[in-house]
Amino acid sequence: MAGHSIDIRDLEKRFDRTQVLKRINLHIREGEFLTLLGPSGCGKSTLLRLLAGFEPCTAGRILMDGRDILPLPPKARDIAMVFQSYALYPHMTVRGNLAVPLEMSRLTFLQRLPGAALLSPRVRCIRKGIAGRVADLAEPLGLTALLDRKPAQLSGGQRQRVAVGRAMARHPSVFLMDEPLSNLDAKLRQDLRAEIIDLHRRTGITFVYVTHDQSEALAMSDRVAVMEDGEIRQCATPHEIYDRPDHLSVARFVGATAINEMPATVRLGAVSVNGVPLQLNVAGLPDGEYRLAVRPERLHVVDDGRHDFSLPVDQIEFTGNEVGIRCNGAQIGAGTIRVQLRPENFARLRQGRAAGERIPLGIAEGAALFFDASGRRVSALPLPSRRVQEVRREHAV
Amino acid sequence: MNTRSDTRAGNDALRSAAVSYATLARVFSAPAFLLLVATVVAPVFVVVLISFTDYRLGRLTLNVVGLGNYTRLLSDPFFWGALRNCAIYTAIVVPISVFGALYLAVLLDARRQSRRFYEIVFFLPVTSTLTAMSIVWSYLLNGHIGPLAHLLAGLGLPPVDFFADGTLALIGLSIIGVWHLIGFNLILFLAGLTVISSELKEASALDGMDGFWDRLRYLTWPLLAPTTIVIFVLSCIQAFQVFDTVAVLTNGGPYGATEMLLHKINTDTFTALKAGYGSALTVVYLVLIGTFSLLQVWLGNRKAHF
Repeated sequence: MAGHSIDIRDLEKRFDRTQVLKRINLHIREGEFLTLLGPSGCGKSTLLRLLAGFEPCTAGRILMDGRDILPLPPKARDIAMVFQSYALYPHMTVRGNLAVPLEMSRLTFLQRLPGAALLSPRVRCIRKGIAGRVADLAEPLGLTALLDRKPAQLSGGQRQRVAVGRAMARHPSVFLMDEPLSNLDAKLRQDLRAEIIDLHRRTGITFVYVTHDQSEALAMSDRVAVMEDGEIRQCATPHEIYDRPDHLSVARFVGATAINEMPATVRLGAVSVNGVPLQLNVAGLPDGEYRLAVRPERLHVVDDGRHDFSLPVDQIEFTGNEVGIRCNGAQIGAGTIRVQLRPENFARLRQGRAAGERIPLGIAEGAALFFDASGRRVSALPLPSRRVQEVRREHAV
Repeated sequence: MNTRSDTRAGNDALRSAAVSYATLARVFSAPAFLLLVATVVAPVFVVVLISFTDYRLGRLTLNVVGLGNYTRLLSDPFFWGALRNCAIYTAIVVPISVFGALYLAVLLDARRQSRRFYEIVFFLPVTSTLTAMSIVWSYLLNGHIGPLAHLLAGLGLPPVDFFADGTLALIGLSIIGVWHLIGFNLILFLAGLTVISSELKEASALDGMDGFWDRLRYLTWPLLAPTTIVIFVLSCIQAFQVFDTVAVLTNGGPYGATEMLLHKINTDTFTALKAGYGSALTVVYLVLIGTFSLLQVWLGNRKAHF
């Protein structure tokens, strides 16, 4: 099995008056695990359904390995799909669900009539092949013992496996998944996440995965395409999406804990927030007003006096592997500022200090992201660096 | 009792409280229960009792004749004729109105904008008064003045008078029966089709079941099976109750060719005033309808097969 590459060019979709997809351009590499991530209503499911051929597009082209697939019906597109509700046939057993796509593709209408297997040895032979393939599908998915059950008698995880098995039955080259884990509880979701990654590695085919869960997207994908309002805001590796978001909306949407935002003023490369000067130099950034965003774990507690700002602590949350501190950011013109620390760092900080007082915070090197009024990231590479004289001072020490 | 512990006494108190609760519940439900007895159960009993007498409507005296009415009924050729006509009528009307409605429902389910329009159009006959519409139908199917007569004449064919010929009269009534029933069945099937989610349809399209017949055979029909059983039994009951069209159009004629059970009950009881005999017919009718209802309940309970 080998995956196909998918080339989406200027794709548009309009329902009556509302434009659901606006000129989507996306290249999905062969064998890639690409996730479409976005809030509900952003058009990610619509894009998937256009790929599958369930709905016609208004404009644009979709090429699969260079071949235009738009005129093809869903069954001829060499794709498989796992639906959010799994869409198993409720009146068929697991065996029936797995066999149906094979029966439809391998047998003609006449050969599928009841009794055809009794009359024709060829039909018997094909049916035998289908039974063998069903057994091969069921075995690695752990469904062999469940083959005679109806979907209603299965747990959520088992149903999900049947849906995957049915999708794999016809050896597709592209695998589409529409929020396949959203109906499961958290623990099972973790397990099946690993199973899907494993399936992708084993088969090597192209996966297009739709989710609104940003942690799922970051954990599973080769690349993530973040969508908003029918547009792709950014398509990049999970690392880039997280560390270098192109758009403020991407920065806000990605990350388990909300990113910290504050209004910043840049004058001759020097940055200040609400009049408080920061230890930052952003040479090359034109003077003006920006929004400065920093991930919570890239804010550090700085004890040596070279902090960027010091803020009063509102609340401290201990979650086992980390400590979350919520500070009041009114002083720097922001709302709540969240800081995440490793517990051992927090323990060190705690000594000789009581909660409720101010803590001095510094922005980690290269962690400050600047966005202009339209929400686009402006901090051009190279990354904003510490003030030159500070570096010099460190050398002197 | 005095030597027993407090818990026992507590239990007793609880039990008496439960009893009084049950009594209270019975008191509250009594009006509804009495109304049900007075309007449904009692009349049925009265009918069964009268069927064992030779009571004539309007008389003050009656004699108990035992099973006399029933033996007379079994040897009455008009009873067997009415039963036969009812069966033929049902055998024509039910399959056409059920499968026709299924076919229409599958077609309508695929429509988006025109669906509402067609639903209303097909449902109109259900809301119309059958007695009044029977007169319209008698004009439509009339052998001399109706549009059908003009059509046949225009094609150079001999005229067909539906309600003058015995066999044709029954077919004519069946056409009206189908027309009246199909809209109701259609709405029920459309409700049943909502079980089939759009994701299920998309999955079936992906798996190769995108033709009309393939989808009907593998997806729509099996999933509609429970609905179909209910609709089938309801249609049987409906068809067996045919009365309005018979009373308005044929009066059971010509020569008893369209005599139906309900119409015969009406004629014997209220025209010929033989209330005892009519009651025996009614009991037979109740037993038949009751059988259909039991069938529906029994099949309905089995429908939880997926």
